[in-house]
Amino acid sequence: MTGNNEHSEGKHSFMPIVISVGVSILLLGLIIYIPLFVAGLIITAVALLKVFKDGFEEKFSKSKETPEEAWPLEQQGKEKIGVWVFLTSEILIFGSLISAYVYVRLGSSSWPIASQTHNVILGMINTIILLTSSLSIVLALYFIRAGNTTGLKVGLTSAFALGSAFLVIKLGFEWPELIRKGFTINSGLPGSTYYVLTGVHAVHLAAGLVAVGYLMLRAFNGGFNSSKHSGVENVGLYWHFVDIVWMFLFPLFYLI
Amino acid sequence: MGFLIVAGSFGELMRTQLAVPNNTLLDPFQYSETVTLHGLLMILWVLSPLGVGIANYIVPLQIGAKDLAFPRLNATSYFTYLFSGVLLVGSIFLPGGGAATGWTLYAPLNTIQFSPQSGATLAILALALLSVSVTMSSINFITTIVKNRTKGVTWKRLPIFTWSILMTMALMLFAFPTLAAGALLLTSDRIFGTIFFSSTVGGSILWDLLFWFFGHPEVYIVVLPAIGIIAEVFMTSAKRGLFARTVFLFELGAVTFLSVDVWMHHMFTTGVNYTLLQTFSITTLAISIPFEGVVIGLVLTLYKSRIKITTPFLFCLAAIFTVTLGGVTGVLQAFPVLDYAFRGTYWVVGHFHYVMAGTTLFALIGGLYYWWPKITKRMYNETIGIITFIISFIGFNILYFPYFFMIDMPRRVATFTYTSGLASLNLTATVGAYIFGPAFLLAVLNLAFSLRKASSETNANPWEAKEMEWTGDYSGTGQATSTENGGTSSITGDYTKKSKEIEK
Repeated sequence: MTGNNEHSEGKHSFMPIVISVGVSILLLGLIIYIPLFVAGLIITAVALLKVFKDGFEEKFSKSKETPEEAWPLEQQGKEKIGVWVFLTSEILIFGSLISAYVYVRLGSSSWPIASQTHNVILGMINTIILLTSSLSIVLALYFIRAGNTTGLKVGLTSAFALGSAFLVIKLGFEWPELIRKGFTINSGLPGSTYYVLTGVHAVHLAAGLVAVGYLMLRAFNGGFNSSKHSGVENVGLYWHFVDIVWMFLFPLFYLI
Repeated sequence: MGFLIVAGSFGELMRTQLAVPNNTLLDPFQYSETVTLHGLLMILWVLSPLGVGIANYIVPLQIGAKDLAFPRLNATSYFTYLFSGVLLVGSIFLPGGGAATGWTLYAPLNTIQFSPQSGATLAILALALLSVSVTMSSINFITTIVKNRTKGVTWKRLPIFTWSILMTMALMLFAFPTLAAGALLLTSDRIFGTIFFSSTVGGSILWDLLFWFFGHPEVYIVVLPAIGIIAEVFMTSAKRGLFARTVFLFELGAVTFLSVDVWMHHMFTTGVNYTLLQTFSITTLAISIPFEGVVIGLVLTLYKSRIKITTPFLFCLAAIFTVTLGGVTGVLQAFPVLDYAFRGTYWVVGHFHYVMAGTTLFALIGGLYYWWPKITKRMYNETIGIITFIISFIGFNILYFPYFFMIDMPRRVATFTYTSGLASLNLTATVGAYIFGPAFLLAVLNLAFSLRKASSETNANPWEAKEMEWTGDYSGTGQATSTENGGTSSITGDYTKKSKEIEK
């Protein structure tokens, strides 16, 4: 609740306020006036960018913390714990969404046959793409642990490329094809569930792409080495989570 | 605090409307808006944030951390909370008005067909934004408590209030994402034309499931910090440790765990099948057992001890009184038969106001008084504090006790007739509301004036309390460590600023 905790570090940051205002304008704009939505989006994005840049510098000036009691998690950084707690909340969001889908599907007397609606081949390709991207992130982490920065760069770049490819196939090929077939977001429950769930997943993946893009920037500026690479690990955790969600969505929508 | 005043005013407005039969102060739609905003603001923007706000200051002190683990995330969380509240209140000024569905936003009343006004969509988006803010906060607190304890603060020595906050945060982490998911589906229904809540298969039951999976844990999210505060205040007032501390913590843990297993008791009357009815009736009864244990533990802490009567102590004692009454009336509703009879009446309203307004608000105000000298280094006026307590306690009971006799009066209805025989009870409740409301202004003024007066300065530990945030003794060896004043002065500044805003 306290807005100016940064005093203790001798630093002010107005970015939290700017982000909040940006998001509020964005939401308000969504309802009353679309340009307002765009404005809010821009404000939020700029503020987030600033935070990323600040975070970049903070990493170097961080002082050693006082001795702590942290049983049983002495070995883990606080960022990593934060990411895990965050992922718990994400699991619950997707858990609720998938449960809602299962609930309406089981309650419906008829449901279109999955393989006739959806392009299983494209879905399969996308699944392989995502799995490979997870592998790239793991390899990137493996390489930087060994001190190999070239391996890190290759791994991150390939993950970024594969993630983008997933979105291109999904938004550029699958969705237009489905919409041509008359399978739209307001065509009934099958459409509603499909677009909302895969849409939310796509938004998560896009956020992951931004994070990996940030890692790439840092990697190419020499920001990581064999002792300092917690960012790669934490973003990796998130990336794998988004990947695993797809492992649930793919069979639920494409196969059964 | 600002939201407390806004939401309180809405409450007063409702009581004014219901003071006499056939009142026309508000039309039914305005009344529904008022009900909705009062509920949402009080529960989500006042009670839980007030607890979190106190925790934000006290938890780092209790565990000897300089600050929360991620200060900037904390600030972001605060400001998103603030602006989500602004959005919610602002939603009633949009053309067509705001949400008028009650705080539960039941489907299909929440769909675009029945609530076409854009204000309702904005209210739902505000809820989603709040969920994000709460999630940030819980990430922050959990990480802090797990990772940032200073040397000597082992899990065994972790103070009760911090334990209760840890459990609250765990519940928040589980409950709010579900609300966010529900809000997301509802928003896509309203904006993109999906049909999750307007179709016959999804519809109202789907919303009920999602909402109450969030909604019932939310009750405990609100109550648990209050329990933590009561425990701290009782220990200090009685000058002894908590009765059966370990058992107490296990009971608190059991309450936390069970609270995610009882949500369907809000849906007994929706036609869920018989097995589910039985299951959730049993879990609801089951949760009352550890909870009674918690209350007994608190009371036995006081048993045969020399109690120093102070304002925080009185507020916490009142909270124990109301949680007992509110709890007992709640357990009755665990039986589906009685629930059929009581649902949608003022009996239920009485029940949850005793728990929410009584227990939580009293305990939180008590906590604010208790830690006020720690936060501001100033002492409030004890006499006025006790007078405030007496006024608010009497007002509270005049306001809510008649509700238990108003079993025949349906909830969320803007007026009633002369012939219903409810006129005198309603008038009594309204009088109570006029006593109860101003008492809070008095409390705020009392605290604010202590900041102005230099004579109210106090030493570091006016209660002679034993807990670590007062003594600064984290290692348990009797030696105060120096971390105490590390990062706290800045936070004091913020609280000062806040209370100055209240003064205006």
